[in-house]
Amino acid sequence: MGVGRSPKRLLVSGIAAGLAIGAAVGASTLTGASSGGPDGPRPVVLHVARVLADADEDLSLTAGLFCPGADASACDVSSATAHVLSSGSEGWTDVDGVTDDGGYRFVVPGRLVPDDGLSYWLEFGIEGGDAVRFPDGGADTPFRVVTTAGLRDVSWPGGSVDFEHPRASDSTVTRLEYGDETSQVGRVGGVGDEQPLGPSSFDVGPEGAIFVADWIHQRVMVLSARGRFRRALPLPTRRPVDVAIGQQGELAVTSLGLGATAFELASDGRAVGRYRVPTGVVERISLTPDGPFVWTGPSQWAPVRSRAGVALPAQAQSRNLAAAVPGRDGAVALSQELPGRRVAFVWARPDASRAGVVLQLPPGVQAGVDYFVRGLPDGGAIAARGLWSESGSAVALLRFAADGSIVVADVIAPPTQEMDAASSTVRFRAPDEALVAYGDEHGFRIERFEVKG
Amino acid sequence: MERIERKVLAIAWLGVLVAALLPAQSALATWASENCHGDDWSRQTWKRSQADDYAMRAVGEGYEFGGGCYRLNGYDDTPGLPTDGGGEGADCSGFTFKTWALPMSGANGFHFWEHEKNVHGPYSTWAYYDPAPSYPFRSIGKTYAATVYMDALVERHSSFGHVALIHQEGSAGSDYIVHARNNTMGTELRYLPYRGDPDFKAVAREAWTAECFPSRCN
Repeated sequence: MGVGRSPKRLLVSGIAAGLAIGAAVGASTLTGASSGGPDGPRPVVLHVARVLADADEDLSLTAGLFCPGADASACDVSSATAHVLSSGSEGWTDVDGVTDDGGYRFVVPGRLVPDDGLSYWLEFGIEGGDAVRFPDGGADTPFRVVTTAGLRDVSWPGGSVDFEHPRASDSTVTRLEYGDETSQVGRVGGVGDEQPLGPSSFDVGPEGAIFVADWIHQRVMVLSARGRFRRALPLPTRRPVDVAIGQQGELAVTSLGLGATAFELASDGRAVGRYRVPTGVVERISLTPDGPFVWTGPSQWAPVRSRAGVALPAQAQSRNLAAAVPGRDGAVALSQELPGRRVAFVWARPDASRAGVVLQLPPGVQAGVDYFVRGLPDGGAIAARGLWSESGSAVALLRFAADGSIVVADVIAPPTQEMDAASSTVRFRAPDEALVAYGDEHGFRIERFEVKG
Repeated sequence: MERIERKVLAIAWLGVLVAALLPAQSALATWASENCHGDDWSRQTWKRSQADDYAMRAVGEGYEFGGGCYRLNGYDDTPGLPTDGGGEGADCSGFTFKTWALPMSGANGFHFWEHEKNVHGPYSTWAYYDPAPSYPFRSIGKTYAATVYMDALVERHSSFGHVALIHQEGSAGSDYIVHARNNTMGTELRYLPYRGDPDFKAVAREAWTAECFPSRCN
């Protein structure tokens, strides 16, 4: 509870926030209600999926089960097993999980991690019930792990990260005031124990236009590439936490948390698909040539429909989890933290060959939020990745040449913490820009950083 | 006779007064005052796993600034109420207080608060952010190696603060977090990058009961 605040101020701020929130949202249950529904209650597997691993090194996996609602008995785990199939081998090897920090830890021995990687899926035995497989398809649809074998090792230039002196932006694309006018965005909280929350995410259209998800007013603001307000699209969901734009300017939005709902929208905002997402804890959405994928956990993207307007059932969503989804242009790229203060970036060159680097970070610096990795026509890539230490944080803007060498390694100030889709606060804009959202009690703005070689 | 008349008159006035006040009392009643009748008691033990179960049972429920009462039904009973309007839920510091089974005063022991008990406890986010030596929790490092589940991450700014509990450790500065977020999202489970945010410090409750208790711990 806050200290030193007058009852009158409390009352005024509380009523104001309550009226705004109550009128616009009233949707707390979206973040935590039962993940049941047409598909019935399902235990939620909380897993940090691995996409990349070091060959011949032990691979540590963690996972836990959460049973929303009253049916906690569905989470009485009697056994926890990771089933591992090393590439090139014949059969699956079982790795028993041990209880660790409230969940389970599976240590896959290095001998099961060959250069060509491995596949794995998790299985939880339930007391008196059916086992829980994750992904749902088990051995038919395992997670696929590739290794860093063959990737170029590079070190952070200069040997240290200067959190205190971030690079300035090249320009401010847009500034938006808080308020209820059509050209303003909403913001709540910021007093007492309530974290402030502004617009929850933004995305960039194929022509560079900017789309800001204003969940408080249940709309998406459409701005020109130069940041000028064009229009506001009303949305069919009360809590549009994340917005994604497709190749033809179509939109997708998703609500937040357990039991979320994703929507596919025409460019005029008309809903053309509504899909429940009973898998995982949702907070992002991506529009690919195969339709929307929803982020349901670290390195877990679930497809939500079979064709426009037709939802995939829960099991089919979980069966087809992808570790990294293609962008709207179909290109795949990914990034993952590795042990020893390293972070890997992998992308596809235009000739479809794989390129990638393993970046060694300076002492005391850890990899943070994965914002984006995008392959470039020259075979190189642009990436934005969070960095943090006990005392500072920043975003690294990186440009890699086709051979993996570092061309640019800039440090910029961390984006706003007031957007709920944290990894949607830094976006790529072709051909070579990062757009970054900043916000505080004075307003919301998007800054532009060129990442040129 | 005159004395009796005065008595009757006084009783009549009292009746009028009571009748006038009754509607006012009804109007002052809040959801919390009508629904929160939970109990509390001292305990000898409290494990991280018990605290985690306790916290996770509140996921999906409401948030109330200065509050502390949950009705465990999987949804926010008072979504439209102002944040300090006597509705369902704890705020973040009250949620931490109850989950950690902290006593109302003193540093020792455990005190169990039923979810339905409307209690916030004496600790603000300031207290968690900068704990006094006498408090039953302390600041710790926030690397993954330094924290254990049910430790907390806390930030404090000039106008607001927030404290959140680690449910399951993640990677790259993020974790599965359970916390009383705010009046919009209520009490939620999320994967959030609090650990990698320099505004956040880590804080740990002291004297957890060992998970192996009452068996012999190796």
